[in-house]
Amino acid sequence: MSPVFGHGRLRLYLLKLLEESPRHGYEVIRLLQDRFLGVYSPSPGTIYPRLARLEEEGLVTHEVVDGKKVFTISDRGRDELNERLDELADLEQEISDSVRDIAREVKEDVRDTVKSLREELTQMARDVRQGPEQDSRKAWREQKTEWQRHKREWQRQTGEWKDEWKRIWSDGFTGEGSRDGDAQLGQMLAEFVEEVRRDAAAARVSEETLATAQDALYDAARRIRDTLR
Amino acid sequence: MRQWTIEKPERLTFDSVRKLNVRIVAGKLAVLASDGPPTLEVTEIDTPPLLVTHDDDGTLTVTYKDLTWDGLLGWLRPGRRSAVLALTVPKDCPVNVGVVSASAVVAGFEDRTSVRSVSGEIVLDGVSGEINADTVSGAVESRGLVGDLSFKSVSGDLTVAQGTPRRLSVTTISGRITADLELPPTGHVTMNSVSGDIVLRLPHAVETDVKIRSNSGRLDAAFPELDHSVQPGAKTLGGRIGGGMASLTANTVSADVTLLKGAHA
Repeated sequence: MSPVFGHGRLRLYLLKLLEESPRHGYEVIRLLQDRFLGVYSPSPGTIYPRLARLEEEGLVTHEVVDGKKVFTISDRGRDELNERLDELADLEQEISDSVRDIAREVKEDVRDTVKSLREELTQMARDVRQGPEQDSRKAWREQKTEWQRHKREWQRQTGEWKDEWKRIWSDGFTGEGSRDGDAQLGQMLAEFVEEVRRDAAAARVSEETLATAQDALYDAARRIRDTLR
Repeated sequence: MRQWTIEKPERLTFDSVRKLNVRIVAGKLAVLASDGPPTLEVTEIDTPPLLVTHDDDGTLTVTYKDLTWDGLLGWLRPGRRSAVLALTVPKDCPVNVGVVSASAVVAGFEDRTSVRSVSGEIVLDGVSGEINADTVSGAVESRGLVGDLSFKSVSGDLTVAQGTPRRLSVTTISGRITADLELPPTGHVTMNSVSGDIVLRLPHAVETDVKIRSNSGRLDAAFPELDHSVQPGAKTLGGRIGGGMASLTANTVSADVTLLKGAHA
C-alpha cells in the first residue's frame, strides 16, 4: 500500500475527488487506481466504509441513481477541504513524488518479469533442442554438410540481405509510423476471417455452405485482383 | 504558446496536453499515463537548460534547443547533459520519446507511442495502440503490450512479456528477440533478423500459420504439426497450427529460431 495515505489523508483525497464532481463508489476506486497507475488499488472494503463515515459526519450526502449510490460533497465537506488546502497541496506534492516511485517500481517490475521470462524461455528452448541425443548429432552432421554445400549461396543471400537492410534502415526512423496499405489489407483480411469464423462457429457448415463460400471468395478475389491491375 | 526554460529542478503543471514530444540525452526519463493534471517534474538537470514548449493545440515539447529528431542519432557532442525527469499526461495522448543514452520508462498509453533510442534502455509497461520502437543498441523490454508494435534495431534486444500483438513487426541485425505471445486470430507477426536469435512462446491452443526461414540458423519448434524442409541455401519450418489464421513469419540469415509451446490453459 502506498505511504501516501497515512494520517487520515485518504479522507482528504476522497473529499477532493467528490468536490471535483459527484461520483459513485466504484468511480472513486477507479480514479484512485488511475491516479496511482494501479500501484495503489484500494478495495471496496476500504473505500465504502470511509464514504459511509464521511456521510455520518455530514461531509457528504448520497442519492441513489440507477440503483447506485452517488456521493456529493456537502457545504461542511467543502469547508473542511478549504481549511486543509495546504495539506492538500502537500498531498499533491507527495503524489508527484510517488509518481517517481511508481516509475521506478514499474521499471523494476518489468525488468524482473522480463528477466525471469528470458530465463524460462531459454531453458525451454534448450529442452526443445536437446531431443534424443542421436538425432541431434545426426542433425548436426546434416546441418554441417548442408552448411558447407550452400555456403556460397547464403553468402550471396547475405549480400542481398545487407542491401535489403540498408533499404529498410534508410526508410526507417520516419517517426509517426503510418501503416502502409499492404498491412491494412492484411488486417482487413484477418478481420474478415475472424468474423466468418465466428458466424460459422454458431452454425453447422454443410457442403452447400462450403460451395457458396467458395463462389463468394472466388468472386471477391477476382474483384480485388481487378482493382490491383 | 507558452515557453519555459528549465535550469534547476522544477515542477510544472499544464491544463491540457494532447500530444507529447520529449527528447533528452542522458539520465532518466519516465512518461506515465495518469488522469490527474499533466505535470512535468525535473529533479536533476545539468547545463544547458531544457526547453519546454506548450503549444495552443495542446502539444507539449520538452527538449534541448539543439536536439532535433534528426540530430538524435548523430548525437556525439561532448558534455554530460544528464537530466532526470518524470512526465504524467493523459493516457489517450500520443507520445513521442527520444533518448540518446538515457533510460526511459513509458507506461499506460493507449494511442500512438513512438520511442527512439540510441543506447538507452526502454521499458514499456501496459502500452497499447500503435507502438514504434527504434533503437541502435538499446534494449526494449515490454510487458502487457496490446496492439501494434513495430521494432527496429541494430543490436538492441527486444523482450515482450505477456504480449497480445495485433501486428508485431521486428527488424534487427543482431538483437535477440524473446517474446511470450497470445496470438489473437487477427495477429500478424513478422520478424527479420540477421544474426539475433529468436525465441517465441505461443499458447498451447494457438491457431496460426507459420513460416520460418533461415539460411544457416537452427530452427526448432515444440509444435509437431510444423514441417521442416531443406532447400538450397535455406531451411524452412512451416505449416498450420490449429485451424490457422493468425500469421507468424520469421526470416533469418544465421540466427536460430525456437518456437515454444505454452502450458495447457
